[in-house]
Amino acid sequence: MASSIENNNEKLTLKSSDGEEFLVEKHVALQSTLLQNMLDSDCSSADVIPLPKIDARTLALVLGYCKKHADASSSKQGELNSFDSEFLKDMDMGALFNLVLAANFMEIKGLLDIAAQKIADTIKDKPHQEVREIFHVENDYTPEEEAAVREENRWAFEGFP
Amino acid sequence: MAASGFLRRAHESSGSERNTADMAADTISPPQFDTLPEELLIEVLQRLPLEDAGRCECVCKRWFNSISSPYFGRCYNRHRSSFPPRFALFFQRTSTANGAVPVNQSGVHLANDEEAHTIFNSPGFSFSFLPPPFSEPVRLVASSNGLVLCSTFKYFHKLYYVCNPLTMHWVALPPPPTRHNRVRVGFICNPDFDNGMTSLFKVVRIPEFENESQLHTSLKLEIFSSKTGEWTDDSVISWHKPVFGSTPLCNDPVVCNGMLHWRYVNQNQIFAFDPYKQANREFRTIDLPKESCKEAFVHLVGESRGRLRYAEFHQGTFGVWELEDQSSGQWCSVHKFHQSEIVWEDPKIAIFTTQCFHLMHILAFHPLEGDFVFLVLPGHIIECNMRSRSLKSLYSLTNRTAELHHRIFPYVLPWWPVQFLKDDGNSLIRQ
Repeated sequence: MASSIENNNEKLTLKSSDGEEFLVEKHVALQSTLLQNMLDSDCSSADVIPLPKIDARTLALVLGYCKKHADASSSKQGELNSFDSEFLKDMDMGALFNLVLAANFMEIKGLLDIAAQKIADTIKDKPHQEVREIFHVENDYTPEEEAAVREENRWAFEGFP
Repeated sequence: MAASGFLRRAHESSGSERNTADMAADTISPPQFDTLPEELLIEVLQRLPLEDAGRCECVCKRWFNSISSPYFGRCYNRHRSSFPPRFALFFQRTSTANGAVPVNQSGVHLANDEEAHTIFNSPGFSFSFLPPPFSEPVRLVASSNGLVLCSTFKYFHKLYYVCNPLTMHWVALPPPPTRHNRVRVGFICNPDFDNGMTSLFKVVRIPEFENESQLHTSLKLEIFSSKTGEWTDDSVISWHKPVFGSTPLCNDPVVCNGMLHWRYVNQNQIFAFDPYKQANREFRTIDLPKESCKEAFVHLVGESRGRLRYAEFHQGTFGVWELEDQSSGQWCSVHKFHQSEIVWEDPKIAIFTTQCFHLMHILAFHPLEGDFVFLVLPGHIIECNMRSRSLKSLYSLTNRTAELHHRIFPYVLPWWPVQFLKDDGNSLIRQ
């Protein structure tokens, strides 16, 4: 663990949408630009910071990510990369979704990057009908409209039924 | 286009909006992409390979609006800019005496294999997506920013059309004002990033001098602008040192930094013209590099990584210069070697020896890699690594009677394809 935090072991409390409180070391919280800005301004670390958009399960995941990235020195990029892929490995789509929303809300760019990439990887190589099912997107095209869009993009349908 | 009528094309999102969707505490509920704010939808979709993003326009109207918006194109390009763009060499072969080029004999060679699309590795690549009457033999004339300028062969350069070989969209140009027997054509496409990746392009016709016994001190250019949808022929450029007789251009005009560059046979200077500026004033000449041998028979003016280049092969020595400074005309030598230094590693071209090198022609500079140049030896298109001095056969012209059509050009596909201007193209004939 980095020595720089020994004289800076302040903690702050985050509160999830479902009321659970998380005690977080300050240097871990600083992974979030949102929290950093709050701490830089008038927000005291003694306060409980409510995160009304983020449930406890997601917040726990987010803080796990932040802790790993806050504690690792920059020279251990390889280790962080393998942590990142392991971190998302068996995550279901609902959790990934919540992570993207949370990372965006809390402004954690690295987490937003890997979670958005993971969702994109799921879409990759899939027919668009299957993409709809995976993401529960309603098809609001009429068959004629869909055929017209498909015709415009027929270059993208090489090898797709 | 059919699809744009009923679907609203999204306006640019500011990207700062943060109306994060209402998140249910219950994480068991299935993911609802519909609840994802626009910026996060784009955050995800911009990470897709090109074809996947194209297919996703069919998912629903919201996705269509997001992906087809100018904002998405800009995000996509920004996100992808760390990857090399896709690149191919476009060329045509001719196997008939009269030089006609059947559509199905145009060729494409894939020069980088990353994320290959089928159009890039099909040796029988054709422009057959062009409907009649354009599906008759076409001639590939030039390429710029992922668009290709084609011309019908039958009436030499009588009709032009511009297409995107990837998306298979195309526009036909009105007939040019004058019929010239010999004309060279420059093509510049400047994507309009502010209005989405819509193409703004210019086609410049440079008639070759045909009067044997005349001193030519001026030249009348014909310029087509996609903005007006019209040809104009009032661009006259003049110079002090006359060009004599029926002087052809050495090779097709080269686009570099928005300027067209061309050189006449036996002239030791390159003409540079900016079709976006007012006529007459924006014409310059650039002297060839001082150390170059002006009598070289094998030479090429071209472009690589945004810089103008000149290459020549003379008496066994291969030299390449790069224009360092447009305004001062200062060149610097980037490669120089003797044919005896060449490493013949590729068994496919082992039959060639240094003695055959006088049959070599320089085809094109690699647009993205400064150390590579494309050459042709009988039966083979060759990639030459000028740093390691090694040659590799890229493409075998298996039918030895088939000559390579003299027009060959690098085709670089932008990360996100350039769209044609829609809805206002009253002068452009569309499919």
